[in-house]
Amino acid sequence: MTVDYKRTSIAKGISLTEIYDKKFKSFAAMIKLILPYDRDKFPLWELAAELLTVSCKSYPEKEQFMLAQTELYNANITSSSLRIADSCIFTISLSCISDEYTIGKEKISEKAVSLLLGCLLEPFTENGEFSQKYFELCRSDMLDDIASMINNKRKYSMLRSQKAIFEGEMYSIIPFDNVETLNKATPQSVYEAYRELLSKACCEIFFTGCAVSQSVKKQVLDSILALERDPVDMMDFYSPSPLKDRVCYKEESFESRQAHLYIAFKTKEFDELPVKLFVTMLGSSPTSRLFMNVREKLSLCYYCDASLADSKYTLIIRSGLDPENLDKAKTAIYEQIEAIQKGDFTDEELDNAKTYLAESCLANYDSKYELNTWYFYQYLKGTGYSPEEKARKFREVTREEIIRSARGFALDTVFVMLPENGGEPNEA
Amino acid sequence: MKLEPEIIRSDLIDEEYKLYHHPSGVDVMIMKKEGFTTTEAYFAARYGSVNNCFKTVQTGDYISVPDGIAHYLEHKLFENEDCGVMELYAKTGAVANAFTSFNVTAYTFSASSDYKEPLRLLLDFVQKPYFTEENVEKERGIIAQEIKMTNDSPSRALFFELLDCLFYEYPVKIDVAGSVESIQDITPELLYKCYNSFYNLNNMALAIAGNVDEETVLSICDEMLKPTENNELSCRFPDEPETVKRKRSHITRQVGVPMFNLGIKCKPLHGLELEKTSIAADLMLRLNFGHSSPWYKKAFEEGLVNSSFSYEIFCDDIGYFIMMLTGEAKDPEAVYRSIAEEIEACRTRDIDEKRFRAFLRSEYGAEVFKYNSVPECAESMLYHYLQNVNCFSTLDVLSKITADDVKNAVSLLDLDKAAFCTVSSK
Repeated sequence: MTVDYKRTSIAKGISLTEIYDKKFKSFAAMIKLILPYDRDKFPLWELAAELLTVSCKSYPEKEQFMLAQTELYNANITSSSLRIADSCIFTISLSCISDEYTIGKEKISEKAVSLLLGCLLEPFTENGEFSQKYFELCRSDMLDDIASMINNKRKYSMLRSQKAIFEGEMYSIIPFDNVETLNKATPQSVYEAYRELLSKACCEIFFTGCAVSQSVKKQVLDSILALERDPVDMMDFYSPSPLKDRVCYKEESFESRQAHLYIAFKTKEFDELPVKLFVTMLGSSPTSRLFMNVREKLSLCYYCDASLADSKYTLIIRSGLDPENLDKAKTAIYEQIEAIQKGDFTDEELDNAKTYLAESCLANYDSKYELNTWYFYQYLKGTGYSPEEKARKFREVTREEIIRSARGFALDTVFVMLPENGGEPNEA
Repeated sequence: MKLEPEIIRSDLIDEEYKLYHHPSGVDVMIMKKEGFTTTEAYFAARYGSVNNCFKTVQTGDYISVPDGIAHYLEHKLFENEDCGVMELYAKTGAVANAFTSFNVTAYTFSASSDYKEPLRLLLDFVQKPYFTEENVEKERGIIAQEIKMTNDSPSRALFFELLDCLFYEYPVKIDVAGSVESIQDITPELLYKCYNSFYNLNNMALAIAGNVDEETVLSICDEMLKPTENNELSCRFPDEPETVKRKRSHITRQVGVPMFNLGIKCKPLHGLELEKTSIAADLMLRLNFGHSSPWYKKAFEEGLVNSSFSYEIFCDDIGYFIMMLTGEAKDPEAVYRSIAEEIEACRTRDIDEKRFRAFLRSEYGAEVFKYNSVPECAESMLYHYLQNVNCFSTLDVLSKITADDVKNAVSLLDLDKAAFCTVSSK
């Protein structure tokens, strides 16, 4: 149950991580660019990342660019953006089958990696800025995406709750707040943001899956090293959210049949392993206290779970239910948290939570994406556990450590998204 | 007695699995994945939301049951007489789950270390129904919340509105979970009746993939699955005309951008014929309406559609075949007109050979990617089994398909047998 893992520092702000396992028939090449979050620039960086995977200098039209990937046996180049605490991470990634499995063992990995590098380093530009046409189309698409977030009631409620939970912090800025900046953006301002991304961001290069050839690796490293760069220092992974002086109670409403409840608890001290065991016992495993009590015993909801925004030291409990059951659910949730804080849990519950987390760690070995995420987070958190090592570490946590961690969490925010029409059926 | 398996293999991508006809009546599919850590298993009954009128030796005549009962049954099987199934799984570290779709109910687990105990549990609890007035009543509130949650999704509402337009009576138009109203009629007696009819081992299959050993899996099957008499299950479906019930519909929901769904009703197909036609139809839609097609380029650049536009072949061996084109658009009617014009144009247009060849390579690549994932391997074995073909039939079809086959699939685009549904805010 091991993988061939190696992390190498290449230059200031550039590192290479290789995670190989011969059982995989494909590989992923990812270039992650990490910068401190900036409210005004984030939407521009996000739009730039989108534009990089629509076309490139060699394939200026989107259709040509897509066809080029199609011809490489469904090679897939995508971009994504992510915010963790006070940092933002932009990833341009390639997924491609191994040369071993192409028909007639055709060599495609070098071509696919060239295409990835072309996207990142040689975008399609006109007069020194992004093409007006694709700029307008990608911006319009992003604005539609933001508008359509209302379609997913859980996601929309979660974003609205984020504003209340992290009020006054950068983390309270949600996609709806980016609309004005996007409307003011120009092909030039987004191109400038792209140049800044390349020169200032810390660059983490990943190869995961079946091993790639030395020439493929060299191709990527030479291209990145050739850039003129002055990278910023990495931000700390953790940026704890301060506990509010008074608990914030907030309600909003939208068109739906269900109410959505979000309750946030925050802590000042965060010891990852016992905190994760606490959260697992409370609400993130199939036999958690919230599942067994709020759902199974009281039949109040379909889901009631707990998740951890670990970089913010914040625990968030979520449930979807009828508005008249909100108080019952809140009482039941508080009771379960208090019980764990008092040490009122069995050894069996604790063992089950340890087993659940340990097994979850080991499951990472079977996905090149999960392995990539695993080792990236190890780097961000300043730890270096393999999945197997962390599975063992969970086993060593004591009951007392869990109680201490649970007691550190205090109620911070209660956010409810109510149905506008009292939850009556939608009109056909 | 040693069971002899059917060995199902693809030399092209160097993958294989074995199919055993177990004496209990269960078909057991095992795909051993060298080097992988995890194991994924599906224990499934050919029982979905469409099977709402049936008979067996025990029921005598055909009986009809309330909408959503297959899904309700799936929820209730997780409760044993003495404890919850999830609690038993928790001791093993495996994660159990289940789903009900139109044609199947499947119980699954995913394990990273030992798979033997989770497999015993899986085969055991699915064979031990325990329904009481009290525990059936308790589940009603939970499922009602699940139904309300899914009803809040405009894309799901649009999907079922489309099916309601396309079909007169065929039960695929009914939401898998039923409605808050229909589940009120579900009783322990009805659940037992459905269970005894559809969870007969002759109507079930096990698909398991990953870090497994064939002998161990079979020995657990021998221990847990006992030969069962076939109950001669037969399902009745209403006669469904080839035409559609309604051609247009509009619903209102709070949405960011209006959405549309165009569905074209085609003749139902079965087995390999279904596999071949669905692959040809998929390639035809990709050539004419995919994100690299000239139509999409024009529609996207003119702002008619955004990148959410997609197409899908929604079909099953049990008797439906729909082609769907769906997405968001500020002016859905303009999209409809544009698609209709394009359909006419592609009837006389030759297949773009270069793109066709590229798509074949891409489809082949997608198959290679699939076998990198243990859950996808298990799911694929079960999915293809339910369609009465094998896992590698897609590769076989792709290796033989011609541009003419794809060109012929254009004839399926008959707008006289289509419905167009939209959703927008009030």
